[in-house]
Order: sequence, then C-alpha cells, then structure tokens
Amino acid sequence: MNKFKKMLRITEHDDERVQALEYRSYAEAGFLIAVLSALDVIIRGLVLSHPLSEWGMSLFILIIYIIYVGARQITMRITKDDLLEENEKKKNRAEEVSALLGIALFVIWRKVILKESLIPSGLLNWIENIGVFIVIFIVTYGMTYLFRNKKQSEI
Amino acid sequence: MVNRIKIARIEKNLTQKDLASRVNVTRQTIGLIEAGKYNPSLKLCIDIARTLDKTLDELFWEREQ
Repeated sequence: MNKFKKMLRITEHDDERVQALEYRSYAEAGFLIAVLSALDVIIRGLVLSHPLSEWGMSLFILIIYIIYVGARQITMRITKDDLLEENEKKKNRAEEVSALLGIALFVIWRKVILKESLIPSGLLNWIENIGVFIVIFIVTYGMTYLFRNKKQSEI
Repeated sequence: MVNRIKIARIEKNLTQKDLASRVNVTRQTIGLIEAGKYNPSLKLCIDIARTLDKTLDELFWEREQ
C-alpha cells in the first residue's frame, strides 16, 4: 500500500521542505492555468462571442480544475462546512442565499423585464450590468442581514 | 525560531550533510533549520533530536532569560 502511495506521489523527494515547495509550485502552476483558462472563457467566449470550438478546451480545463479542487477539499475536510463554527455557518449560508437571490433577480431583470439575452454585449452593457448586479446584491444582502438580525433579536 | 541544533551537531561531530542523510532531508534544510529560517515539522524535530541524542526541550525550547 505504501509503495502504491509512493508511486502516486508527484514528488520524488523525501525532504518535507522540498516536498512542500514542490507542491506549492505545482499548485501555483495549476492556479495560473485555471486563471488563464477563465480569462480565455470570459474574453473569447463572453465578451467577444467567439464560437465555442475556440474556447471550449479552456472551459473544459476550468471545469476539471474546479471539480478537482472541490473534490480534494471535501476529501481533505477543509471546506467551509468543516471549518466554520455553527454561528459562522449560518452567516455564510445567509451570504450564499443572498448571492443566489441576487443572481435570480438579475436573471429575471434581464430575461423578463428587458427581454434580452443573459450575456451582455459590448463594454458599456457589461459595465451597466455589473453595476446593476452590485446594486441587486447589496439590496439582497442587506435584506438577509436585516432578516437575520430580526430573527436573532426575537430569539 | 531559536534552536541549538548546530551546537549539538558539532558536539556529536557530525556535518550538516551527515545529519541530513540520517534524518532523510537535504543539507540545505538542515542549514535553514540551524539558521532559524525554516520551521521543521514535529516529526523532523523528533528525528533530529533522536539522532543527536537530545530531547526536544534541549534543542528547541527557548529558556527565559
């Protein structure tokens, strides 16, 4: 079993300091690739609206990176749920709810009220939409914050 | 981190390379530990202490002046 584990290691050194530095360099390289892939998806895919065949591989790499990081964090027990205290978890959940609510309201605003596609087109449209999204997020976050405080004072 | 590894190593008549090979690390790591520029894991501290026939206290504990 130990031999098998040793075969799976991405480092050949026994020195813990060298191992840690090696792992860090691999992690930084992985993160850099993910950032470049994300930039490719955003710029070629969303801003310039190029065909999927051009930036599909970047999207694939980004998805694999996100899934792998997520899976490793779950198996290593370092997700927010594992590390936060109960009251911190509640606060975190409230923030997640407000973010999801914000996204939902943003989608409703674009699709139902403006009857436009979900992805903005052009720089000004992007800036306008980011501004709107920030306003929506502040409102939803404020509402969940007030709701939480009211609930706590009732208890 | 203050440590007395260098003194203990010299008392034992070992070079940095000797100590490094006995505890399975590189000579550079021993140099950095002696210079206080790298904090070793507890496992490595114990390995070093055993190799130098010292306790962890003797090697790593900072005595109050």
